Amino acid sequence: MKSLGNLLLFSAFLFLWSSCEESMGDLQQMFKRTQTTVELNLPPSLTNARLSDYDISFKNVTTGRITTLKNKMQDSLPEGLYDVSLEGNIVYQLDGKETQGEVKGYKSSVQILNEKTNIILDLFLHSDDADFVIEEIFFTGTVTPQGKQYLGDSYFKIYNNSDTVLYADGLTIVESAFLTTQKYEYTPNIMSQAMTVQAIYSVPGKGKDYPVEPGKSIIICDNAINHKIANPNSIDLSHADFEWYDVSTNPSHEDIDNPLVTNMNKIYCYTLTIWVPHNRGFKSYALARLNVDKETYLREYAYDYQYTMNLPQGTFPMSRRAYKIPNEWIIDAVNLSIESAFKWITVDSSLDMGWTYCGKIDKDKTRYGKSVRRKVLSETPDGRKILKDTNNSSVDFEAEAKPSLME
Amino acid sequence: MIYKSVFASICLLLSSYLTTYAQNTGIDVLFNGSIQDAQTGLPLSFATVQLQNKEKLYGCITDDDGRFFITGVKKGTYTLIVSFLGYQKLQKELVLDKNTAVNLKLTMVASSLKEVVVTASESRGITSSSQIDRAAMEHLQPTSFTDLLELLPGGTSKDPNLNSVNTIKLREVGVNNSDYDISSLGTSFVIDGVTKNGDANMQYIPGSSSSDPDYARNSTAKGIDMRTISTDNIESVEIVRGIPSVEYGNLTSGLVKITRKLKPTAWAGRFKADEYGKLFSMGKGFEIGDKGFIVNGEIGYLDSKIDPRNNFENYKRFITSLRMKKTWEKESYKLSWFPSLDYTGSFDNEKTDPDISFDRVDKFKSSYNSFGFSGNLKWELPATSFVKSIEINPSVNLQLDKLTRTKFVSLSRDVLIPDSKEEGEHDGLYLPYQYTADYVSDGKPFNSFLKAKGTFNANTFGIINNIKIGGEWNYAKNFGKGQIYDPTRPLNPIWTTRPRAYKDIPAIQNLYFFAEDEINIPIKAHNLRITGGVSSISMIGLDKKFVMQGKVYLDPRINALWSFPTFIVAGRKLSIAIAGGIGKATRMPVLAQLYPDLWYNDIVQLNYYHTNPEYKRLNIRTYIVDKTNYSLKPARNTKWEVRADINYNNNRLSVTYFREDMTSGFRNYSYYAPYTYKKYDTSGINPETIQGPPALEDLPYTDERILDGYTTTTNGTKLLKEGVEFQFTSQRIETIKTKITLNGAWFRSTYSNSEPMFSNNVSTVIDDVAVNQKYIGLYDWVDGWVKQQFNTNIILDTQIPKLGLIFSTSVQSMWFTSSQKMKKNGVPIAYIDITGELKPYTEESQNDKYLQWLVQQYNDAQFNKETIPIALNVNFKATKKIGKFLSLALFVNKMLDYNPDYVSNGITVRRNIKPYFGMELNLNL
Repeated sequence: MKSLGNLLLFSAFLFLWSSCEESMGDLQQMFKRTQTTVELNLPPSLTNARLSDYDISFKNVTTGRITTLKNKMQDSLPEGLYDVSLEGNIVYQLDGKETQGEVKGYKSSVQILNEKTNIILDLFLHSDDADFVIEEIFFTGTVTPQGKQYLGDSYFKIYNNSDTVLYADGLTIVESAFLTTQKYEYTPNIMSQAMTVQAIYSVPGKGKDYPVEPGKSIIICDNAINHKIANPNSIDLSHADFEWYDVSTNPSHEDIDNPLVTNMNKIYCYTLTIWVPHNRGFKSYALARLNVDKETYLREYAYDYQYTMNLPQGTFPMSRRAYKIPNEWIIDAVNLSIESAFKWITVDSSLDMGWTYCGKIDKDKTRYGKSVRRKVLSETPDGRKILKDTNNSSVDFEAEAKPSLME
Repeated sequence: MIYKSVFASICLLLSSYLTTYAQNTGIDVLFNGSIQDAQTGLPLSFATVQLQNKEKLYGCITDDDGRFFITGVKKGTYTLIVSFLGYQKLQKELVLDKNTAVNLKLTMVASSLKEVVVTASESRGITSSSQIDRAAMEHLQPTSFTDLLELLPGGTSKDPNLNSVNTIKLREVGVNNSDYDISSLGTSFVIDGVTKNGDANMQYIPGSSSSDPDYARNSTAKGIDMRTISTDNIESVEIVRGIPSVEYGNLTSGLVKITRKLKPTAWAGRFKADEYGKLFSMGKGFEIGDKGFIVNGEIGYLDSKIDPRNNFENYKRFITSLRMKKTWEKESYKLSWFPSLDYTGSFDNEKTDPDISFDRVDKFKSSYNSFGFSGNLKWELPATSFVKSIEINPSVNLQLDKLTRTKFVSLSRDVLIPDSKEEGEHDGLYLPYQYTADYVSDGKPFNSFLKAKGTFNANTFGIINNIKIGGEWNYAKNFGKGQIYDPTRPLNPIWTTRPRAYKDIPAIQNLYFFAEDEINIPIKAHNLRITGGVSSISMIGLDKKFVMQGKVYLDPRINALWSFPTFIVAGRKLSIAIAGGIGKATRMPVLAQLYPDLWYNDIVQLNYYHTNPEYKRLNIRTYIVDKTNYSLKPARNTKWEVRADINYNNNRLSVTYFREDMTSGFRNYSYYAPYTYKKYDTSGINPETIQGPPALEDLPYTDERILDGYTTTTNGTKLLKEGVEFQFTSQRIETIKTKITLNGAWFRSTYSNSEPMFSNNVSTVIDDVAVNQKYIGLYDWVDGWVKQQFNTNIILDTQIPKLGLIFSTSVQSMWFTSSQKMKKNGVPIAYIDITGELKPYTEESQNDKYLQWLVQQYNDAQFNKETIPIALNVNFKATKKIGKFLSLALFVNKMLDYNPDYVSNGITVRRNIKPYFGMELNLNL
């Protein structure tokens, strides 16, 4: 594509050069105008989509002059080589609701020649605040051929849902301290301001060490090893991007540190043993950026709370200390639960108003080897997927999906 | 009815045979008649009628209507013998020279005329104790000894719980926490004069979690497991709640004295079925010859399922016993010998259902085979002589215990094989990801017991002293092969212990001496009875390092009973007695507490992972720590009580106030210390160019220290028991044939620690540093509960002996139970850091990144008193004699209930009550 563009640019240059020889005066006048029609292909897989208003810009590559069409698709333009782009608003049906969105379309080095030129512009959804999203969580673990539960192969797949290069440096995975299957009155109630977390692991880096291209993802896993050696039913995670490694001198909870895979920074964890995401899926997970340095965070963001536990044995007034992550630091959150035991969501509904699952009952044996995966909303012309992120994981996620690393 | 017709047929056959015989002689008469109950006039069926003289013997059994006939009786003079169980034998001379008809009346023997006591009776002795007789046991229909405790003041009926150890708790609310096991360990069981000794029991799986089948079934250092005691051969039980005689030692709480049947009895068979299982027993007592030789024997079998729907978890018990009594009576003395042979088998089984589970190989089996022999010899002299009696009681008991556990272990990570045998630095290997682990605990506790006791009379200043002097030697040793397993395939990969032979553990020997004097001082019409004595206990053969070595612990105990003269009030007799007592009681530690397993502390210095397994390297530093607490002392309790006993017109009320104070109960206490290790830095290794496992010589390292610790037994438990026990028994109200018994108790039990405690329940990891490896807080707190309960049981028992019917209704009300956690301040007073030094915890510490986590969070509401309101259950039991051989009993516990909802911490709690019922058949042939 690039070489073809260059070729076109070069031929256009020659053409202009020859024209110049004839008259260096009002060049514009000398060019014929072309009736240009833009045909718009609305983003695929959107239902009942229609553009509400839009601007189509034609940038003349030679002169740099920009012509903008407002809410129209036809005009007569001087012949030439153009970069055509569209920015607009779109309305479409999503999960039964009318949804507003932004679209973009772009085509470079379009020859506008002769009487008529038809330009086909593929539109794609765009969001200025598109960021990383949790693409997939594989938390259930696998079963060995002997039928035993195997843990240590869980992973988070983080996807760059924007159209720019993003940096994973400082990206933080957190696990909620509360269960979606047990609702207590936690006092003080800070849920509208912050998420209460019990595990905090951050991607290392100084800011630009771990670039992630748009449409690309990174894998953050428990043990970045080939799990198939221990359990043929598991997956090979030896090529994961990051692993969380829980240092311990105690042989009873020795984690594996693959020296070839970068370790996450362990900021805080509630347990002395190895952190594994809740394998029955009773917790919520979020992706965040700590907006303060680690020392300040650890010093100032502890959260003491009280509640009364209600068990068949009686009621137990409890007091606990955990950490909190302010909601505005959270990029994406996913609540996990199961149908038979769901009680509430443990993050503010502005972060995630729904929940997704693997398994329907507690200790459901069918959950093993399944993950939750974010659905694809749309695709860009160059094949980049735009993942659905409506802050409602009930509809954004495919529950009980086949893990992407098992495909 | 079937039996009746069978007997009638036998009768006919017998008669016809006799008739045939008589006809041959040619001279015969008919003898017939009927047998009736002398009191009621009701016919007695199945009575035996015999005619005998030197030549002839005729016999018959009466029919349904109490009638009998014997044909073809040869004319002559006979002795007629009519006998029937429970009635006085009738014997008279009779001349039969023509056909004769008689009507005879039999009188019930005194004991069966008397109504039976179906509740525990409060003893009239010098200290508070409950007496439970055979009849009460039969009416209660127990599965094991555990069920009898319902009859004590403060007791309520409980469903059998046979998948866990059943331990005894006297005079307390109870708490489910192994730090307070001294309650049951401190209660002594004495069966036919022999102390049941579980001190050498080591059957456990080290470090088993609460989900392991072993956890609830581990009775090590918990005292006697009451599941193993069958009630079917018990004649009577006395449970001494108060201050026992100094004759009984090595206890802190109470004494259970079991006397088994030793008398001629009919064949007694019992078959019980309830939702949890089936019980069968059969026994008989014979008198052989007339030289005073009695033999009793029985067998019993219990097959119990924990959940009737689950075939894979059960408990079985098999008992058999042979007891003899031989008496030689001479004019000047009487010598009795009571040899007995016993076997008890107790079997716990649990495995996973192979059809629904993946864990096909997983199973748990714990068997316990106890063989006992004892031969009590008693020499009795006339009551007037100085030496009244001398008793020698030798006994040996061998248990063959085997606990087997098989488990399929599946690992998700590289885990160290916990098989280091020596201290120091060495490389470790990884366990395979999947393996089958087998664990065996082979225990052979052997107990030897010898007791000698003499009772004497001495007359000092006109007062008779009844003196008891004696001694007891108790030897307990485990000869078992111990914990047998392959350390490279451990049941639990995190084991910090290694295989251990129990036979290498020294024996424990307790030597006990006692002397007691009892005097009766009549003061006009009053009477004062005082029993006072002192005992000494010492553990002999201990290593010098133990503080207990060479120490003798003295237990003085005194009880007094003042009886007032009998008054006549409103034409009825009133008698009042008050009593009181105070004493110390001492329990020595058991084998497992004195000789804990060694602690293997493995610290990982290097755990290098490489995709090529050949290049992995694991290096550890092992510390082997002897957890023995050489300063362990016995647990000592101080008990006192006062009691009043009022008897008016055969209505009796007995009230006891007691208090028990113990601060040296056995407790699991944690000790922490710094441990040094090398932390290897592998960041310099390029995993892509490495040619083999990293060589330690080239690796940089830093010397690091971490805190770690273990728990061992100390004397840190405080247990304070306080309460009021009462029992009221009415006389039988003739019109409704009903007797009312009201008993109950208020208990206030305080469970706590008596020393400041280290607590490491900080599991936080901050900035990749585990806080509790750096700092451990010392908290000056009382960790525990104050628990209270108040209950009453009203038992209405109605007995209609004529109908052979006893039924009882027991209204069991637990008026309230309450529990209050002791207020704790979560701020430590001090902390230890990796230097191992204790440092004060200051304001500044609270702002430290790590130290702030030592402050334990408490919700103040958890220190509020939590009260559960009334729980009222009505139990119904009935026993019906059917004919003279058979009796049928049934029970429904919790047939009616009142368990209202209540609010606890703002949440409404509903209680669901499930009835428990069963029935049994008793046969007396």
